[in-house]
Amino acid sequence: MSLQDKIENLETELHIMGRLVLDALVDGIRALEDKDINRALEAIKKDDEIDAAYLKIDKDWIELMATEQLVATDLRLSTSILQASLHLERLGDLAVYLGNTTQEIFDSPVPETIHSAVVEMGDLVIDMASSALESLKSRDKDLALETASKDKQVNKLYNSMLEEAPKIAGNEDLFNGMFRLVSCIRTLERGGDHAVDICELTHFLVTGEFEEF
Amino acid sequence: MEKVNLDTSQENLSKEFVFKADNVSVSYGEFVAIKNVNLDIVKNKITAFIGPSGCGKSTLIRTFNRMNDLIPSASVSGTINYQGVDLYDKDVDPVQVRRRIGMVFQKPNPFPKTIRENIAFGLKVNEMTDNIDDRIEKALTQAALWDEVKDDLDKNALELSGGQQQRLCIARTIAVEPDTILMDEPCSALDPVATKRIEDLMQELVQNFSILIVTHNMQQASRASDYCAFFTTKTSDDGKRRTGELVEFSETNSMFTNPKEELTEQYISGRFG
Repeated sequence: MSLQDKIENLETELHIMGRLVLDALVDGIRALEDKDINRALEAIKKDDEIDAAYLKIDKDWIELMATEQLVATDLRLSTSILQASLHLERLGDLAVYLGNTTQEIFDSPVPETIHSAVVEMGDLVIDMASSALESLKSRDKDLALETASKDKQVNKLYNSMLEEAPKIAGNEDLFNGMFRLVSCIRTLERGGDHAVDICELTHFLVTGEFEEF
Repeated sequence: MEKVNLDTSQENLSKEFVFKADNVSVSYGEFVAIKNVNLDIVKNKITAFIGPSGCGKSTLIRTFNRMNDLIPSASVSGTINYQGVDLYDKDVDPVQVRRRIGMVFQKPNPFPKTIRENIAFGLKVNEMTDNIDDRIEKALTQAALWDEVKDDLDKNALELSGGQQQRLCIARTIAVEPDTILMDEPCSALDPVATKRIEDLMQELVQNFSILIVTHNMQQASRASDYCAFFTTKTSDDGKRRTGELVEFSETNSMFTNPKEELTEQYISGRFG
């Protein structure tokens, strides 16, 4: 297999993994929104496939490094793929977390403001992860920058929920739901950061320069 | 004839660049081998010249110690400034140039004499015979060969392995105390172990010398050099003449991670040349 084919394969593997992660995140956030246990299990189940995809990329990347002297764009692309796969693996874990949270709250009342904000935050993270992957695929550094800027909205929602939580803390009926959802928002906030990191990889791939978005 | 002083005084050594090539072209008769090269070579660093066969990199490196003077049809235009002196000034003595700027070639070429005589020869030519044994030991030590040959100094140099012969040639070069070493594919005839020893040695030598190396081995350029110049050939409109040109010159790390020119990218990625 030529070097070009090896790198193209690696990139294809990343985007297949990306599709799996996005599907798992959609399952996770819809499950949480609808308190849908079956869909929560779907999100959790996908994680094995995501982990296998991650390990395959890891293995193929090591073989590529062992057998080829990569430079310039080839080097930046293969490195970006490896790093992006790690961020995707973590986003896959986020989908599992959403599934688990769904199981923890499905028979409990939840504070509506926080519940809807978590769902909004989750949809934002899915949108960011999808756009981040698209920016990497199409080598579009402007899309990467635009996508990374959405993290402000994620952080804003995160902060607003932290302000909201103490107002409900005294309500024993809502405590379990609130506690589970507040735990979830921290994980979602990190999900936004993973998407931003993928955007930074796009910038690195296109320009050769590291930049913190 | 009054000779221009090439002495590397403290004032000269404080300059950042060992060479400043300005619009340098080299021709062999009508044939222009390489043209319009502008290049500043940083002192006490390793600078690699890379590029496809025929791009003029060996021709260019030979201009830095006037080796092309020995080829009757060769002519050099433009200027090469060495430590503040025009290297091609009519009053500069090429023999003195070659003492200051030593050269190591592709194929190890020790004299068919003893190891000791190989080092002593240049010292005698340059009237550096005081403490000659110390000078021989120092040169062989600097070339990472002393421990292997110290008990066999009167052995014929041709009995050494290829890698040892090349290190002997390096010792012979540095014995006369140059400040710059030109290396024209010094490892292309060596196996990987001997190549690694030369590359390790270059890292030692660069503390005291400026090194220019021509190499076809892209990995060697990326591993061993601090700066890298990529040359290519341009074919004339009628397709009859091919002339070397400098495409890109930058720090090696930068060239191998983020080359500025598409041609460089294609060459170092193995897609051209």
